[in-house]
Amino acid sequence: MPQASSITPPSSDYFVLQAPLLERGAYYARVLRVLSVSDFKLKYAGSILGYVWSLMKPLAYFAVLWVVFSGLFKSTLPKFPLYLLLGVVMWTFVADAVSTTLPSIVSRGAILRRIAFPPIVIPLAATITALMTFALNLIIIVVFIAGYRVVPNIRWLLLAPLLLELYLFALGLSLLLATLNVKFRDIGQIWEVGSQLLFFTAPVMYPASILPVWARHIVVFNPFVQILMDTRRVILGRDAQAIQLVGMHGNHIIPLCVIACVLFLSWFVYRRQSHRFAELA
Amino acid sequence: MRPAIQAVGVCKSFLIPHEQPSRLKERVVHPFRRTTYERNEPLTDVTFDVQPGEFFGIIGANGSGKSTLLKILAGIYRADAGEVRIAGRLSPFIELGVGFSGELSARENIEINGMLLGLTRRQLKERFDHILEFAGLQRFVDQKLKNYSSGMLVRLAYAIAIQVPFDILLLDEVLAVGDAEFQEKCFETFETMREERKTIVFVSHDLDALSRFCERALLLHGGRIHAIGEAQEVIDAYRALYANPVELRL
Repeated sequence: MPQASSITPPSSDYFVLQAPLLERGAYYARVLRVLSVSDFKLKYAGSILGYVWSLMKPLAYFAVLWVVFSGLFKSTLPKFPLYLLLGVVMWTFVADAVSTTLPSIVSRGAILRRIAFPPIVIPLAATITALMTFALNLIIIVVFIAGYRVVPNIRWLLLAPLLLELYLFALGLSLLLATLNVKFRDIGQIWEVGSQLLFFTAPVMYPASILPVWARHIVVFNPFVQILMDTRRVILGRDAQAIQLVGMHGNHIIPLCVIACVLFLSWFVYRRQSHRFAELA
Repeated sequence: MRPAIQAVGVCKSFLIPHEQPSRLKERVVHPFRRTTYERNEPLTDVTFDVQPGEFFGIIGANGSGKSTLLKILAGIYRADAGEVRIAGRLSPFIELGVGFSGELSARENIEINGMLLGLTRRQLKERFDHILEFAGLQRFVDQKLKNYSSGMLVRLAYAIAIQVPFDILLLDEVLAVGDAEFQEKCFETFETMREERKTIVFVSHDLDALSRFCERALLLHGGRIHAIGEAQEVIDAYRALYANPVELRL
């Protein structure tokens, strides 16, 4: 290659990237919105029931688990259906976010090959699509809460940071796997197994108190466990039968560190790979 | 005057692996096997200028590096070496209809495509009727795009693309599809753009259209500039290049 070292690589000041920061931000926001909304529409395009399916999925899971486990935990968990539903809906969100985001960069590769564009918008849009489904599913939870006549109190304000934490966890995991998936197409298979593992080791359908002590030291590294247990504690109060997984503040510090690490790692991998997405996707 | 596009010594190569390395299994089963690569060099040391207000053509055989060059100009690929300087608002797309999806209606696709190209919701609303009128597709606005013919798709995509404010436009083979009537319509918009002193870079195999519109052109051959200059001369060089098979080995 002729005098490669003496020539500087081209700067990336193209198109909107030339525009002032505010204008650029507005553009990203518009694209994010239109992509996530169209993703949502596409997901249910041609189906008769449409987005009713997004309600059916967690309800079906819930029904099966309730039939199997309700007898087992009737005495320990007085509001077991609500307890279970919270877990199922929150887990469905994480699973849904990751499984829609994971192939998104590859499947939207056509866009990246035809337009200069910050690729991160694509996985971000996919997580927001999952967020829309999640918002719909929250309706079921509200119905159950009303049914059990659970009265909101001031502590429910804690749900806002908990939901934010849930989104950040899903985002970090989705972004990391979606980025890796561009180069290693095995990630989809790995996630199929990994998601099952995370689901069964998290206290979704059983209380964490039945886990042996050594296992508690492991599951505490799954941030979803902390988010779920805290959400149940806020909504169900004493009925949540919450326990300390590990001593002191470890319950919170460990998962928060894990989320921070996942987010950092995903950003790091993304930064290294993103300029080649158009070639590889 | 500063050139609208200035490319200096642009090089791009792709490493094409002989084995598919995109599976972890390969790495696990053969941890020490080095993947062998073939270096494919679509572009070597490409240097040229395009002046503001100029219509510039890029021609060459299939695989000569035209699209790769256009992608580098647009900022879609990053060049391995060399520099590209752009003065003015560059249209970010090289092909029409980015983000179109067959399962959605034309109405929805106009929104997706228009927004990707940088239009705001309000701008789209204002120009919506104009887009449909230009494309001549008012009757089909609520039809799914998968039921469109390829000519109708190009009409729609082109109608949206010319709504985007730009100084420099990059177009990869847009004239090929579309009927005579629509081509005439496109040619009219080119004339308007010329009056507005827009800069356009065409990649096309339609040599007649190129000689009609372009002042200058560039002939790529094997990733290198084979000829550059006045459009008609470059087109003649292109024809000569393939008229005489002996020269193919160049």
